[in-house]
Amino acid sequence: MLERFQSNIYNFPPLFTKQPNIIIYNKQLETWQSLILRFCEQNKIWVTTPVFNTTDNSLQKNLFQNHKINRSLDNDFQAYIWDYMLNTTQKLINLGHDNASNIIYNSSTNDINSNNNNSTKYYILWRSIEDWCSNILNYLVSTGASSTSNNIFTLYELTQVYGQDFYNMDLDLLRYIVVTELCNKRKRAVCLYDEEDNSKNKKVVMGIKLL
Amino acid sequence: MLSSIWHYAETTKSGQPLLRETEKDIVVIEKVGLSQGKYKILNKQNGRFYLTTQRLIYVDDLDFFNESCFIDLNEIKSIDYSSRFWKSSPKLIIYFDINTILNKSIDKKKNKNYPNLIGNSFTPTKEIVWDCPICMMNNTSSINLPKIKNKEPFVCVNCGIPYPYEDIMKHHDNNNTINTKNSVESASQCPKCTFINHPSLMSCEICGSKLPNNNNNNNNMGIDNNVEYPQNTYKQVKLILEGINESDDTSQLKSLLPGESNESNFYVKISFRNRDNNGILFYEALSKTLHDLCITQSIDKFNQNCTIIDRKNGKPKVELLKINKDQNKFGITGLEESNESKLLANDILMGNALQDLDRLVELSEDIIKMYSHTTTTDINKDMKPPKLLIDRGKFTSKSSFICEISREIFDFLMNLSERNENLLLINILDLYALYNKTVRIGCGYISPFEFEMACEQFDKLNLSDKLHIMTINDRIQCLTTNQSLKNFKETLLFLINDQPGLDLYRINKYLHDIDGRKTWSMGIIAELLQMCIQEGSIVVDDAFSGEFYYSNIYWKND
Repeated sequence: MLERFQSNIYNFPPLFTKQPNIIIYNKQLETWQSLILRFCEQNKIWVTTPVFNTTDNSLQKNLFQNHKINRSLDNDFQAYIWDYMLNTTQKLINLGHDNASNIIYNSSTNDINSNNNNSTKYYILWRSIEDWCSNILNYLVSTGASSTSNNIFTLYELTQVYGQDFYNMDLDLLRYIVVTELCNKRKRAVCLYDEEDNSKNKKVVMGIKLL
Repeated sequence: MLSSIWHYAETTKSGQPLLRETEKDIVVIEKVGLSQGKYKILNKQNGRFYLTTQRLIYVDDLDFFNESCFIDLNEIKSIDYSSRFWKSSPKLIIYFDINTILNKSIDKKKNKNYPNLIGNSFTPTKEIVWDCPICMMNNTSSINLPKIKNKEPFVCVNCGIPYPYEDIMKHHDNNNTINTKNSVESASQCPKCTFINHPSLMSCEICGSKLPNNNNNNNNMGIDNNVEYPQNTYKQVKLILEGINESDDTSQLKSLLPGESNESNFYVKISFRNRDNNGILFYEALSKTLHDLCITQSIDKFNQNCTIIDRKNGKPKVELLKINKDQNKFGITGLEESNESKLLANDILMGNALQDLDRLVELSEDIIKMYSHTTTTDINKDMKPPKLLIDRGKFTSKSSFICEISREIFDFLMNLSERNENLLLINILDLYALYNKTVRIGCGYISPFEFEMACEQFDKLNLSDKLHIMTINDRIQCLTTNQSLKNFKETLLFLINDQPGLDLYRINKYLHDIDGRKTWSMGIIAELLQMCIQEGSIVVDDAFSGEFYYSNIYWKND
């Protein structure tokens, strides 16, 4: 799966060293970002586990270590790259909990007590939120809008649509996209909440109803 | 053109005089101007004077290649010093013997009719040989200036009859060419060991002492201004006097004479223009040198006071030859005995002569052996003229010392970089250490501060207006030119582009292979790499085995 990925620059040893020249360094970060995004797109990687402890990770094994030229990216530099993607280009997002609407995007951080930094998940946006939204909307419109009765979709159902780009998409990421972009911004759908889990005054989106 | 007292002095590219063999420098004085007689010599008004054991060398500050000249100390008759007076700067006055100068001038012109102040014709030799018209006695008379001037008659030693001056001189003119030849011959005769050398030699082949008229040839070469000589031959000294017509030799000659009353003195003046330095030290050093020269010339003659000693008897062999010389014998027996003793004496003489001949052959064999040995090792190639020793003691002011040091450093630098300043990039600290340890050893190290000051003088001293101290990467001071820096960087980038992934040691090695003419060093390469990294043309790969450098092909700066 890496063959297509073995571009020339990936075998350029200075890529694995943090360049002292700041201009070059920024370009290097760009290069790394595009490499990561391409890698994730090809391998359908949606989420990355905590940045500093990526021991058992496809990214770590197959991207950050280039066995051909015997170079690897050190942890510090990885951290810089993630930081760049998170703060500068926003290709990486951290789904937390939205205080305003009390919506929890991240299902794994349901329990506030267990919410520590190490378990924070970061989502890799190899397409932008808007792109994903348009993609989903296209699908929904093409399938659901024709029959007026069937315009309710569960999020899980959406991730199981084979052949679409969002097939197997991380549920939390899908929830985030649907809530923020589709429901709140574009107002093409409304959220359907899980009624069972309403005790703690936290709402978990389970599905959407297309308007 | 009359310039027989001035000889062309060769200088190095950095404006330091080239010394002869066995010549040593004594003292240096700066900011001097020259005048010949009453007239200033144009283009020679701003320079330095080096006093050495053999010469007084003038090196011009502006055009040291063309305007430098020297005076031979042997030709100086006397010197005098005049101190500062109103606007007139202190001067050193050097007197020359008119005879030497006239002789040399006429030597140069050979048979050309030379206009001079005294007579229609003038013999170059001091001694004149003439035949008495009455008794046919072959006389040898010396002539000097008062004699010529008063036209004193020549007196025959044999018959005592005086003979008119003009007749003798007229008669003598016919033999003039022969005499001149003789005088040339005598000129190449060594004053110490009397060996007659080849006229083109500067110093004696046998004993190595300096020949008296060794400059004749050099000067002769420069008589014809229209002929261009190869660079290595001696150039003629160009003398343009202020207010004197260049072509008028007579007036130039006159300019040398201070006045009618004192015609026998030629003189030149050296003005010390430096405000802080009145030149008295230089004057004292010169008079001491002249004194020492007198002493050395009078002693140390080769084979002086030597007699041949018979090793067996310890008696001088000369006495053997005196046997039976004064015999009071008569008759046939007397004749026979005297004949026998003469034969005996002849035998001894012949024996000695053969012995001497053997020794001579031995000696000549030795010389041949020595000669063949020296030619195989090619001694001429290795021989270098003695270097100017720049000692603090020789300089009266700090600035002149710094200037001289600067010249020396420049020469040193040029030798490092094949005389091309665009092949030069050297860390100033390295250069300082290198210079102090090689050149300054034995004559006093200089301080880093002095070194830096000297390096900043190149522009001022007309040595190079491009070479200066440059700070690279805000931390390393290097001595280089802009062009040079560019050249170095280009070569480095070429190598890295050609062979990506080299480490510093490999780069160093390959650069020496590619362009060994440049002054590569590890520190310089590291700094250049750093510089290229900062500019973005090189990227670095920091691996476990070291740092490797690559040309920046992917992240080009727009």
